[in-house]
Amino acid sequence: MPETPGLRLVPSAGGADIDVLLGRVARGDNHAFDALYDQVSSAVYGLARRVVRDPARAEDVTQEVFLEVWRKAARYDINLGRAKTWIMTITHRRAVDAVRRSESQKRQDLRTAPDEVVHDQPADAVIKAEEHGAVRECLGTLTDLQVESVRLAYFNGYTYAEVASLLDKPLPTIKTRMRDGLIRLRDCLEGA
Amino acid sequence: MTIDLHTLSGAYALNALSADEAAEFLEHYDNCPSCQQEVRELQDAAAKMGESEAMQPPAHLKARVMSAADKQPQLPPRVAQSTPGEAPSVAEVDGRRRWSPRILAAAAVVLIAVGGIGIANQGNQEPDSNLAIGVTRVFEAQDASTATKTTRNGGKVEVATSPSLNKMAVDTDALPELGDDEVYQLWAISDDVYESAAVLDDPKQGAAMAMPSEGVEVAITIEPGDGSEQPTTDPIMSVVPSEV
Repeated sequence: MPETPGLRLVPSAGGADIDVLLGRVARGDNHAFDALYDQVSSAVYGLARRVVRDPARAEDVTQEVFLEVWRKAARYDINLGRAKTWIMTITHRRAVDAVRRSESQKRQDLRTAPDEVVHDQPADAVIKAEEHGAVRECLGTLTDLQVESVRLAYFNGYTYAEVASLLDKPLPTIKTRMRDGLIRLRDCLEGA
Repeated sequence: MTIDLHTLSGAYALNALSADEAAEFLEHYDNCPSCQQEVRELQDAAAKMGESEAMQPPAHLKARVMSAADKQPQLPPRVAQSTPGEAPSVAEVDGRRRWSPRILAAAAVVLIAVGGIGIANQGNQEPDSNLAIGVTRVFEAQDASTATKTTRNGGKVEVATSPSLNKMAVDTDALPELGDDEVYQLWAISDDVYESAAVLDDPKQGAAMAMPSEGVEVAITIEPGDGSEQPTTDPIMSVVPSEV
């Protein structure tokens, strides 16, 4: 995928260097792991923070992510995509797990029905944070419903059923908007 | 149905499927190269959205992460499965592996014990149905972590966890055979409270269940008769799945 100079938010080396570093980490190279942390910790922590919100919890998630990267580096397959995508995918999964765990804990504490989902904020409230560069431009090419569906799932950790309920839309609609929204984002970023 | 599952790729890439749906999608995904390609590309687009939120972590975090990693062994790379002379893999005996309704029903206890993380195959309790989601699926998941534990009665148990499936599995094939009036029983332990997770009627089948919450311990005991409400013997092995 082409990298467009000047549009990357993180002032880091290109993706190829991260791929190389991860290859060295797979062989137990501590220095490479140290350098990898420097390269990607902002992206990992930033996403974790955005999803779990609580700074201390975001630190825990960040630590979990790097430990998983360390332990599983040898299982990463470069043919399956960028190393950074692999790391960000781990980050997102762990952040969402953390949110769902605490959400389920909260529900238990409140002794409410386990299938009841409590949303404490209107949909609009989450569509406010600043995006940057190519991602912001490309998100701008999505329809409102695509952006809302993708962002509520990705940044709030909602399931698509929860997104559908929050936006009061049928399940198949939201499922489809998530897919065609991401496809449009992918195509736009490829062309960026 | 295929088309319907295929369209879940976006929700899957956003981690927006429930554990059940994700397991169902992954079954389709395994045999769908175009889905695999699409999911990778959509995950890449999602990752870039995530990267746009970058924020410098507090400086103290680095030392904490480095020192934690220093204490962690690394997993070996995967080796091609068809190496001649290799011991039969779990996959090769999969044809014999079937869930007993009892293990399924008992595994549902974990669901309650550990706070609401469902087992993917909850509804499917017919013993003869073709249950592809099982022990081998967890062991062979792309992101599986595995560990081998020796047991106090001279056996061995392989444990696998898969975050993407949100499941753990045990391969109990190498446990010593018990007498007719004893069974192996699996427990989920949280804050010293034991909840039965499964009675292993046939240890050769192994068992799989929802991934227990962080810190929950899973142990195996030998129990009389058809199993016990609470353990009556000391565990022969225990493991914390979230640390596998």
